[in-house]
Amino acid sequence: MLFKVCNLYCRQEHERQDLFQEIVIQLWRAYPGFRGDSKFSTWMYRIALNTAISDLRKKKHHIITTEPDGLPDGIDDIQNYQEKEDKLKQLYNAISQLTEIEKAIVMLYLEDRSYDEMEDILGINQNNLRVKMNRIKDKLRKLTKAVEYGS
Amino acid sequence: MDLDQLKDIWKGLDEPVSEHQGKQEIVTLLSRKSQGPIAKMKRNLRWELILVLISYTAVITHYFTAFDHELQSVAWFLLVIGILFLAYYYKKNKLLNEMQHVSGKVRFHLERQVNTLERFVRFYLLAGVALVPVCLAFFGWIFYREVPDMTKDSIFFSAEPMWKTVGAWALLTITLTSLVYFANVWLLDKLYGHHIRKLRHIVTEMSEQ
Repeated sequence: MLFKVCNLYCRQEHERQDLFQEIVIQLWRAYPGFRGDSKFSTWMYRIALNTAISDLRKKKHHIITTEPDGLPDGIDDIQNYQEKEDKLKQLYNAISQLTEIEKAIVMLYLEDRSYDEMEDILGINQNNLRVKMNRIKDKLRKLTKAVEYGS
Repeated sequence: MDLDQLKDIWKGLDEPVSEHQGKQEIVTLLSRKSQGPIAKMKRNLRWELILVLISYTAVITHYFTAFDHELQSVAWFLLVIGILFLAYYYKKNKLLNEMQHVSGKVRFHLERQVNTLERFVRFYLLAGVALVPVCLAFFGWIFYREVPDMTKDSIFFSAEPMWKTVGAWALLTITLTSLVYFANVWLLDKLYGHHIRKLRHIVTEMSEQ
C-alpha cells in the first residue's frame, strides 16, 4: 500500500524513496498513539496520505511516459501481460494529471475501500465523495481518450 | 478506460516483501533523518537556538566584563532579549510539534496544518518586527547616557523645539520598522507562501461540493 501511495504522488525514483521513508518515519512515530479507534488500515492510509499530500516540496512536474515497476512476475500470457501493462501505464498517466485529493480518492477506490471508510480516512462526507468520484471517472475517461486520439 | 476493470490489475501491484528484508529496510529507513518540511523547520529552529545561545553568551559575557563594566546595561538588555528568544523558540517549537500529528482525517489534518502554519508565520513576523522599536529605544537611551558628547548636537537627542526630536525618532522608527516588516513579509512568503497557498487550495477543494 505504501508503495502505491508513493507511486501515485511521486514520479521520480528519488522522490518516491524520500516519500516512502517519510511515511515509514511518521508511522513509526505515530504508532504508540494508535488506540484502535479505527481500523489499522484506516489509520495507515491516513498517515500515508497526510504525509504525501502535506509534504508538498517543490517538485518538477514531469509528463510520465512509463509507469513505475509493479506488474507481477510469472504471467504466462504475454499478450495479456502487455495489455495489462498498457492499461496500467494509461492509468498512471491519467492519474498524474489529477489533483492531490483526486489521486487519494482514486487510490482508495481502486483499493476497494467502502465510501464509509473513505469518509473516515479523508474527512469528506459520502455524498460529496460520490459526486467527486463521478467527476473523477469522467475526467479520467476524457484524459485517456485524449491520449488515445493524440490530443 | 474503466476504473472498475482496473481494480484487479491494481491489486496485483502489491509486492510481496519477505519479513527479514522488510525489517532490514525499515531499520535502515528509520536510521536516516526525516526530509519532511516540518522536520527540516524543526532542525533549522534548533540550529537557530544553538547559534543564538552561543553568540548571545559570548556577547553578554563581553559586555558584562569589558569597558570597565560601564556597558553592563547592554549586557542586561541582551540577556532580556535572549530570554525572550527562548520563549519565542518554545512557542515556535510547540507550533511545529502540533503540525507533526498526522494520524487524523486528511481534511482535518490539512486544515490544522494550514492554520498552524499561518499562526507560525504571523508569530514569526510579529516577533521580528516588534524587535525593531525595542532595540531603537534601548540603543537610543544607551547613546544618550553613555556618549553625551556625540549626542548633544544631534536632532535625535537635543533638538529645539522638542517636537523635532520626537518627530525624528518617530520617522526613524516608522521607516526601519516598515523596512523590516516588508523584508520579513517577502522572506516569509518565499519560505512558506507557496506551501500555505497549496495547502489552502487543497482544503478548499476538499470542502467544495
